[in-house]
Amino acid sequence: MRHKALLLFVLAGFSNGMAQFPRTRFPGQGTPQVDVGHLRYDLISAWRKEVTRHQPGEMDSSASEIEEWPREDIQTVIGQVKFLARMLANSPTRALKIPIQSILGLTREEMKAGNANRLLKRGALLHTDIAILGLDRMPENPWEPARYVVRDGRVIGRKVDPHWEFARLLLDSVHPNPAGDEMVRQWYRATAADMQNRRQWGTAADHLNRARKIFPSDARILFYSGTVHEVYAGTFAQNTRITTTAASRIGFGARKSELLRAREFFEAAVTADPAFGEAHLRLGRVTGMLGDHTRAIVSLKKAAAAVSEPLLRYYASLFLGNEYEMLGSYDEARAQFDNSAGLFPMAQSPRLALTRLMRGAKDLPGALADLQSVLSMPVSNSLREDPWWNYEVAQARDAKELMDDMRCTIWGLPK
Amino acid sequence: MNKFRPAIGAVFFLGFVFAAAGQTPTFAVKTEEVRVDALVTDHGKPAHGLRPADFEVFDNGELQKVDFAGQDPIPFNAVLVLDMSSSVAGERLRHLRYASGLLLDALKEDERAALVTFSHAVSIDSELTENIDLVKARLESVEPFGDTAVIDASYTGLILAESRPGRPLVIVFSDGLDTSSWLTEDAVLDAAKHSDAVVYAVSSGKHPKMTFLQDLAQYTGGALFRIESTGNLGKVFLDILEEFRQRYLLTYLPQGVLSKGWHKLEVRVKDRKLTVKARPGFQVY
Repeated sequence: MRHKALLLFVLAGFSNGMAQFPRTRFPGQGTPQVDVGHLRYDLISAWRKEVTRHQPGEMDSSASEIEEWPREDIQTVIGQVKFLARMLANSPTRALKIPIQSILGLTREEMKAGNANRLLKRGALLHTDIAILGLDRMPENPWEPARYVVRDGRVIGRKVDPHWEFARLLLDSVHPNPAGDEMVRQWYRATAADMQNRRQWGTAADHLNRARKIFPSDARILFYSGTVHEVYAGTFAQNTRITTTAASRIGFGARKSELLRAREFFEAAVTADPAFGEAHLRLGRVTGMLGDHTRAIVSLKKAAAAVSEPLLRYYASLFLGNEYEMLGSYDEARAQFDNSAGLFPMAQSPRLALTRLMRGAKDLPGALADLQSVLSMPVSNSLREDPWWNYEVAQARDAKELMDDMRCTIWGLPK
Repeated sequence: MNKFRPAIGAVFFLGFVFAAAGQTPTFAVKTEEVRVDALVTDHGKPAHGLRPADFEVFDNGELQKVDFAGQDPIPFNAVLVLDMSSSVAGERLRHLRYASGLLLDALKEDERAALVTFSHAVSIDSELTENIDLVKARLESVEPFGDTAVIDASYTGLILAESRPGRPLVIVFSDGLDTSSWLTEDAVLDAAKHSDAVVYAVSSGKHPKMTFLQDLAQYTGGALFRIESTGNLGKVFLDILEEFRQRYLLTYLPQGVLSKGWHKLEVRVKDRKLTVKARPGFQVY
């Protein structure tokens, strides 16, 4: 309390001292809701306590506690913590340093370094875990930006996810520059993958917009940006667009425009990292969907040469088969479908493709028999798994590992 | 009933007979009959008693001689293609099972049934069989889950219906739009053009832009039924069966038309103001 009073006294000595406190804007708000002019030492202290106590990756009592706070209080805390972190980074006088150190709970080393990065990053981690593990929340009013929740092509509700924004805002204040901080990069990559793994496309889209502002040439972030738009162009999203009465607010466009966006991002990803096989794979896929089958084959062949994982080789062959078929090169198409069927013998997609391709051919009865043997196997049999079913989240298949690694890095825990 | 060799699709082929080497080759042309399934109605009610001479069939604009026209009870292969995605649960599932049971019970002794169910995974729960009890038992054992691959499943129904001799009938039920098929709509509609099967589709729920099932039915000379609720699904299935039984089977030997490619079909009844519904054409490789 003594330090708080001292800080207020010192700050009050500046002319228009209160006006020098920045106003923090939060998304969806036309006018600032938070005035950092009134320092909430109590809230900051309580928040800091939970950040320190929180066990990463768990919806523990700390996360539950903060989750219950009114949104306005969290906004206040984050705004004020950011402001104090900025003050610290600007080499404040000793008179200011002491109260800042006390309020933010910084170590001597952190004061010497002039940054509150540990608190900012751990705070981001707390809000990350609340965003992922906490309860779904409804919008507080009809005008609040919200996500549509879709199941099997039907919109079944709306929800908001403010804690992602809280986390991003904290990391924005990492000193000297979040763009130069590898932990921040790791956080964006891991969380973007996590969002996609959980099919939170709207959340991922906004998240990646921010990520690209900080890391505009990061191949992985560009790749994830592409996959969001690729999903938006897919039948699932486009059919939802058709069935949603509020289609104009659904946040993505028609198929072709989304494919063009996806291609743009994948091209940027392979420019940033020419050896990125999976990016070549998806670039080939969307290029084919845009009707340029010759160029699609070029990309898909690059992908096939660059990837060794059976899953990715399956996709490459399946997509190559499709592109060759579109060009009328049926022998090549068949060879590719055979390839993919060989990698996952009980997957239905290549078998369906083969019977269609071979219709009228002498060996159609054999292909039909193969298809029937696959489709007659119970769906509950794990062998029947077709990787095509999970293509839209395949890019995020390592999301759990990425999140675990990121948490360990930020928290300083052994992996 | 006149004897004819049933065609899978409409097939032409030219038989080339070569004389000894060095001599001018001669050609023998051999064609197979084309089979057309047509529904004829008089103010909405099925018309009966029509003979081959009552029909006019135009193949790419060329009038053909109809050799056979009958409503004889030719055994058919009925393939049920049923949506078992997660949205078909609870009451909808009960209605679907009940309606399918009614249809299966209405089949005659020499008629076959098959069961294809689909979520994102397509399953052939029963291949074509006269053992209707087996099909019913399989229907009771399937539980809804997952997404909707109605395009992949419809294709599977088409090829299954033709897997054994008989008139192929496919009945597709879905309550949603496709969310996970590998095959595209165009690919399956193209397959339908090559197929003998007649597809009747039933769609529940409000999807004004759900054109795939409508196109599939239209291309095969069938019909799409849109229903608000599944409560009367049983009646719809029985109506479909009854309508299919009233269809005429027409055959003709193509004359004056090229073998390969698209054959635009027009089927009319002479001198009568009757309505005819048949597939708009067929494709030959």
